[in-house]
Amino acid sequence: MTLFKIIKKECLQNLRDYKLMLILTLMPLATILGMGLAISGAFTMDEIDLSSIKIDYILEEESPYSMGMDVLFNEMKASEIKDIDTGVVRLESGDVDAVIQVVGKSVEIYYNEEFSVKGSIVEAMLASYTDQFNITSITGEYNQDNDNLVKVRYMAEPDDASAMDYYGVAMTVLFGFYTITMVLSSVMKEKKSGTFSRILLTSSSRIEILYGKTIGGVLIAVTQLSIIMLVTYFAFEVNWGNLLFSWLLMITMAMLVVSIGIALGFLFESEDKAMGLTHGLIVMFGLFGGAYMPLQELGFFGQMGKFFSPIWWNMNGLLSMIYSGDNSMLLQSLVINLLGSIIILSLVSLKLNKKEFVYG
Amino acid sequence: MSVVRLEKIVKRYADVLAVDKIDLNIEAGEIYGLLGPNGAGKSTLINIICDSISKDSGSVYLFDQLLDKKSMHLKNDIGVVPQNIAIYDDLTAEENVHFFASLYGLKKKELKDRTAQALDFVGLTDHRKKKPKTFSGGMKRRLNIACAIAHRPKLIIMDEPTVGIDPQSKNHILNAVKKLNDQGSTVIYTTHLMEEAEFLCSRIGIVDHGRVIAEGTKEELQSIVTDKKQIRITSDISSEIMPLALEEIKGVLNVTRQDQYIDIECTKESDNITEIVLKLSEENIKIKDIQLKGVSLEMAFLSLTGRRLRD
Repeated sequence: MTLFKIIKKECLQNLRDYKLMLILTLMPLATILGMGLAISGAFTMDEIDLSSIKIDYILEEESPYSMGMDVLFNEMKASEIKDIDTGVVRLESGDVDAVIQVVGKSVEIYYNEEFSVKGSIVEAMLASYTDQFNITSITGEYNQDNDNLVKVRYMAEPDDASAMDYYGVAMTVLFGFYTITMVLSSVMKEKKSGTFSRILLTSSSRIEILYGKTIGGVLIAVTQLSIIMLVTYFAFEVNWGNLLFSWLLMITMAMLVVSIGIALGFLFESEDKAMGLTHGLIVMFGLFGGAYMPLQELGFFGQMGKFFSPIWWNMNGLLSMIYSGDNSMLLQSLVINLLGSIIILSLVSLKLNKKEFVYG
Repeated sequence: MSVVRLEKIVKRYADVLAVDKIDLNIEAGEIYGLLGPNGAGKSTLINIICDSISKDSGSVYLFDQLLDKKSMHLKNDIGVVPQNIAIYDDLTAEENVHFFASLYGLKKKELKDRTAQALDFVGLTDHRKKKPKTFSGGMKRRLNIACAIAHRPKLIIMDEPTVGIDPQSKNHILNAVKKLNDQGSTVIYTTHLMEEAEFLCSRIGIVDHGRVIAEGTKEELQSIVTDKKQIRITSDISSEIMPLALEEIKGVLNVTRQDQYIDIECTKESDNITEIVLKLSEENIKIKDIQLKGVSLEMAFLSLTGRRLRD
């Protein structure tokens, strides 16, 4: 079948470009190692003990949701305060790592800049609690102990997060997106050399050609990500939570990344312009994904922009699963990756079917 | 059997009419030359034959079957040698041929054998394990051809396959085209080089402004632009000689003399060489050389299109 021939050819070509393969595999490992060691101070000398995170909270309205929160905060040894101003002053002076204000079902988190990683962990836990609450509140009508259920789920398995843990995940996701450049370059090279048009001259269907190229790219990307995951897991002892679940998310992320690379490759005629846009996109995805700085630094734009960043979706899914044991966010990210790939590939196949790719 | 039949093909790009109601018929066994300046519509026509681009109207028949979505398998019988070398620099010569041949449905032993045969045909067997980035321009051109012929297509379309290569490789390619034709393949050959068309093609179509403005054998094309031929005789020189008697020979229209050359203009269909030679012998003029000069294909092209082929 043509599909397998193209997959084989893609894999062969990518594997032979060993310099690029090495860069895309070793760079993230070097960065994870460097960041993990260099920024370990931000994680209270290597590791964060979740029970050491200092939190102030305010519950302004009583509801089943806020009651559940109250239980959660007690477990986290958080201190209740009366007004937000007091919390902000304590946050600025570094007495606490985060201040949480609960009004009805609305939760606002204020991070301490210097300990933003701790704040991110608190945010992930609260997001996870909120998602879980939406489910348990329904069953709560029949089971008055649902808050206990929540409490046990979240606090029974406290975990320690080191800088290596955080950057192991963050950099793997971020560098995973640089695979877009590899795929883009491959498509551009095929277009420029005329080999793509030459393939189109055969009786192979355009869909076969498109999916052959996509699957070939995904196999290579998954191989790279798997190597990075395994090295960080065994050599750097990065916490990947459930390794299988993390790997499954990485597969769908590779699909999304390869689809974006293929789409950009077919959309643009100039490789320079496409590469420029790609690097810009990855930086934006990283910025709004929280890979470079805490999202609250970006204010309203950060909070809104994160939803458009596939890096944020993937990071959020992984961190929720790893630190909160919440697989629902992971599943959500997985579905978003898959849907994104399908939509992008469908648009590319529509463009391919227009037959404007002439030979020569 | 008709290998390619085009009926009233029209293709428009925005305001530009690239192909204007072209009718074309290429029979099995022909080497059909497609001549035309840049932008004449040759490449668009080839793309339409290959189903790479859609046409606005008209019909394409390949091997007497209408080319539509149901007959894509017909593309398996076509091999295209693109003008630009379209091979993978990071695959070996053998892997390149193997990959493209596999896309035409060849498998296992047949695929392996045909790959070897194609490389042998273009003289690259000894270089089969090397990557094309180490090849000369001529070798790359030959590999470009091997990728198009390994599946033994009934129709081979070659778009200026000798551009930018050394004379040795060029000769190799021209002889290869002849050989492929002898082996049964019909060839469509586009070129800017008139001598290639004259050497190879059994029929030539001249394309200009999206139309086939003239078509036929080389002789037929020449006859379109003139009904005369010229004979140049080189003598041992005798400025005293004035062979006026030559004008009496049937078919001779005009005789001029300059130094050792006698130029005789005749009607195209006249067959009077023997009489001319006899007449010159009677005048004791020693003949050193006789040249029969028709109108060149280049001149015919210029006359038909108003442009030189390389314009």
